[in-house]
Amino acid sequence: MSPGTLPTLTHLQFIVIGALLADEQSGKDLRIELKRHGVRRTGPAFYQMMARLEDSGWIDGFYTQEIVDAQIIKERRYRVKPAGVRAWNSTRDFYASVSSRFDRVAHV
Amino acid sequence: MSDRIPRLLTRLARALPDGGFARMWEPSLEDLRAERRTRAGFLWRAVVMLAECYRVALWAALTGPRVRQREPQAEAIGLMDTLIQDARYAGRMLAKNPGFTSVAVIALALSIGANAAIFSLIDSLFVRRLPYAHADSLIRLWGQSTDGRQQRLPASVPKFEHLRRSQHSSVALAADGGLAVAMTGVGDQPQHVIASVVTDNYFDVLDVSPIAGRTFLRGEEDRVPVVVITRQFWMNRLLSDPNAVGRTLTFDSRAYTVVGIVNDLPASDVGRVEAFLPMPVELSGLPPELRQRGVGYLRITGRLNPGVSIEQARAEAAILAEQYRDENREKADSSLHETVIGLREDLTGNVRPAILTLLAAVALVLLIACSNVANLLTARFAGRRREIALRAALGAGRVRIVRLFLLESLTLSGLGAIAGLGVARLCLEMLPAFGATNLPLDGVVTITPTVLCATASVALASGMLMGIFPALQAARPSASDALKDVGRGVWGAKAQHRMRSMLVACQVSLSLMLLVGAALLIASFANLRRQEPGFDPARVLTADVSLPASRYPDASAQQQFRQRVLDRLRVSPGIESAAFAAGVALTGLDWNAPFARGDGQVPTLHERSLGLTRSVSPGYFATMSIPVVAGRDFSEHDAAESPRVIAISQSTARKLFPDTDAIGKTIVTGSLDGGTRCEIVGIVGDVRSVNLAQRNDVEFYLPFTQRPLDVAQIVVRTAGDPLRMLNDVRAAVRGVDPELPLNQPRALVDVADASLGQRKLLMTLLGTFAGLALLLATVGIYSVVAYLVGERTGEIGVRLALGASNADVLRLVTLDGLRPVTAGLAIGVVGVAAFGRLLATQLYGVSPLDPRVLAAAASALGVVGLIACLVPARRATRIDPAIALRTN
Repeated sequence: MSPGTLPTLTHLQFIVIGALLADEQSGKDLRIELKRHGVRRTGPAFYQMMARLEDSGWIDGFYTQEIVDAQIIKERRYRVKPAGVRAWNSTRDFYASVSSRFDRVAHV
Repeated sequence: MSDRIPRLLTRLARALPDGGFARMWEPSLEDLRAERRTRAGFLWRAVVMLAECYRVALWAALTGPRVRQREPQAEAIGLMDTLIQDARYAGRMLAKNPGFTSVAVIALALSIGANAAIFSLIDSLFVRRLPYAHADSLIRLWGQSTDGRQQRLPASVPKFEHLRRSQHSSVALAADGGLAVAMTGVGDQPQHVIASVVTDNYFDVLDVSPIAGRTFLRGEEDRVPVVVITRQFWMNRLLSDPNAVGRTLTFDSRAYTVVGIVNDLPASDVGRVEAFLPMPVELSGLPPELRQRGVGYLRITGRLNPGVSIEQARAEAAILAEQYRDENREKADSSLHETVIGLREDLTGNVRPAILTLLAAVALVLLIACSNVANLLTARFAGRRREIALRAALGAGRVRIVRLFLLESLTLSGLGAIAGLGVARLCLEMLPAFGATNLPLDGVVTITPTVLCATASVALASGMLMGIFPALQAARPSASDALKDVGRGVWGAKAQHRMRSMLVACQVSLSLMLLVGAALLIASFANLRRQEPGFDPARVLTADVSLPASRYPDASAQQQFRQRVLDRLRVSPGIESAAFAAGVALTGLDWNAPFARGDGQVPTLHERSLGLTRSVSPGYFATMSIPVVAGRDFSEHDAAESPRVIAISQSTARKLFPDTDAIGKTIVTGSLDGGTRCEIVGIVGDVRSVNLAQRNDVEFYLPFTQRPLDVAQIVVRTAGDPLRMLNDVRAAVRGVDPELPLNQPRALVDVADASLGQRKLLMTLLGTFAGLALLLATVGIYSVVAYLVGERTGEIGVRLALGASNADVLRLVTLDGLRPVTAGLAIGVVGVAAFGRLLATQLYGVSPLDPRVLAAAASALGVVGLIACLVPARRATRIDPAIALRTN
């Protein structure tokens, strides 16, 4: 993607994939991460968004399970895919190039 | 707390579109579980989450493709914005015309409300689950006479034992029978308790668990004196005694230990039974010889094995009945066939035709209301042609214009549905006053979520139905034509006029169907009320008396009791005559016994027909005012050891002895020792004793002394209000046996009225719907003619200016208005034939195509249509030609 065209990822997708770059994370932790950025999403709305990211081939979703107090607790976890890393990098490059241009304008 | 709510939520979540269950619901639910909330908190959050899932799914469906990488909300905002914009506009337009809106909403509210009320009845009767686990696999077995005239006959002990032993299609067969007992030791007075004698597996077959204690154990049947009581009995009679289980209760002077409490079973199935005793044989109310001779009193219930259909069970029951016939030719019930039906059908089968009729009626009312509102919408949309033209000129497509108008009609139907639910609630509250006690309903009829969904669907369909044609028609013309013709009042007039006429014709035809239906039911009801029952129910009191076997072990003790009570009653002032009978006409206590003519070759027992047979004491015919047309009444001389005598009805005499005098002839009746030979000593008038609508082919009366039963009803003719004599009757019984309560005392007039309750309910409801239809049709005709007059003001002005008289204008407008009415009446006559067929089973003494009823209904509708035309026509004659011409 050339720096001139609009980025592939929306700002929410950018935050989510950014959070997954370091390590795989659970849906619950990702929602906390989003909340830290001031984004509040209900469970269904959040998981619908994650499903769309999976559909577009940027992330992988899977279940893990553990036993807590004799009860099986399942957790939806996500990891980023190479295509997701590429999309995140190109979005970051876009914002970097645009902001550097505006930086120059601001300094004038 | 049960798992019903989580299960229901999961089921609802599975219905989410586009994999929403796995995409949203599952991970969200797992997160919620991990939060480890309290159960109530978890459930509440889960419900909110499910609603959110649906919101997200709806949004996704509205916004198109799921994977959106750029400008994710741009398209969605476009579509939703226009929809919301149109909805707001529709709301504003309706608010601007409160007159039109209120007329349309009232018409829709009444019709949708009627539909919702009937849906609630259907839901209660046919849809709501019976409180038995897997109720769909429960079946009922009934006997049926060979000619099919007598159905739902109970089984005898030998037959039940045979079926229970030999059948394989059910997990098990259980049986129950009614029993009225006197309870002593609780409270000061003996209390009358409606109990049921059941087999020890009764609760296992129904899969009913106790809420305290246990149900019956195998081997307790007819051996161990235990009782299972209902929750209502425990609360009302034992005042919620915490130590009720284990307590001893005395029924008919015999002690029973309470072993368990069960939730109240549905009244539609067990009636007002409050206690269950595992004594199906011992407490049958029949002497042992009658029991073993095949006299039926048991109702058989079974639970089908998994994978076995009702048809297979039916086939098996037929084979088993055949075997029973071959092995038990001497039994009274050997000739009966066995039928198997599902429990639900058994409980509601007899009201199905009535409810279907009502459903058809409310559907017709809704169609009339829809066509009425469609008519109003056509006129309204036509009046907005300038707005439509402008919208089209500014680029609005036809779809957008149609959508706008559809939203208006959907808003109307939505408002109508909301108001209709209020109407339905009112109707349901008034239902008991209309005689709904005659329906097999369990508890109060309410508007359930199922009914809400059905009502919403009806409202949606009505909105589409009444809005689509006017909207399509309004959106048809090209913008330039419409703009050119603005103000002329002629654009599309012909097509719209044709459509409005068609709608009026449709309303009239549907109204005629309903009017004829209601008139037929009213005529039937009147015929039944006029029907001579063969006895005089006025001033007659009847009450049940059940003699406990422990104190009245034999026929002689029972006879002594009856005689002493009668002696006391006959000297009581205010009582003209008194007698005992088993049972009194119309009270539902009917016995059938095999019979044959005693002369010539007497057929074997299993070849004999069954006939209504009553045990009565001397004085019964006088008390009931049944005329003795030949021979004599029974007397005290017809004792147990005297020669056997019998009285028969006139119809029986005509049927069995068509050419000769029946007095002195012999009838073989009953099953004891192949039947008892009785000499006919009296012929009495015919009595409609089972049902006022049904004449009995045969009816026999035997003296109580010669056919003793421990169940009997007192029947007393009084000088004044029969219920005022209740205390005297009660005192007479208590004077002989202080521990014996009087059960179900009622005036015979009320019994006769109650027997017509279901017909009365149907007639009242259909009459109401017909009235509503007539009102809607009148409004429809009036609005069309009034609109026509408005449209033709200029034309009428010209006519008047050119010399037309008022009479000419009146004739012109009235005839134009009456044309669709006449067409509607003609179409309606064809519809009446179809509707009449549906009603045929509910009618009595009147044909579904009765020409008098049809002519009366058509005339009434014609007159109403004429009046609805005349009012606007008269207004047309007052048009001032000068003003009319200037306006145009």
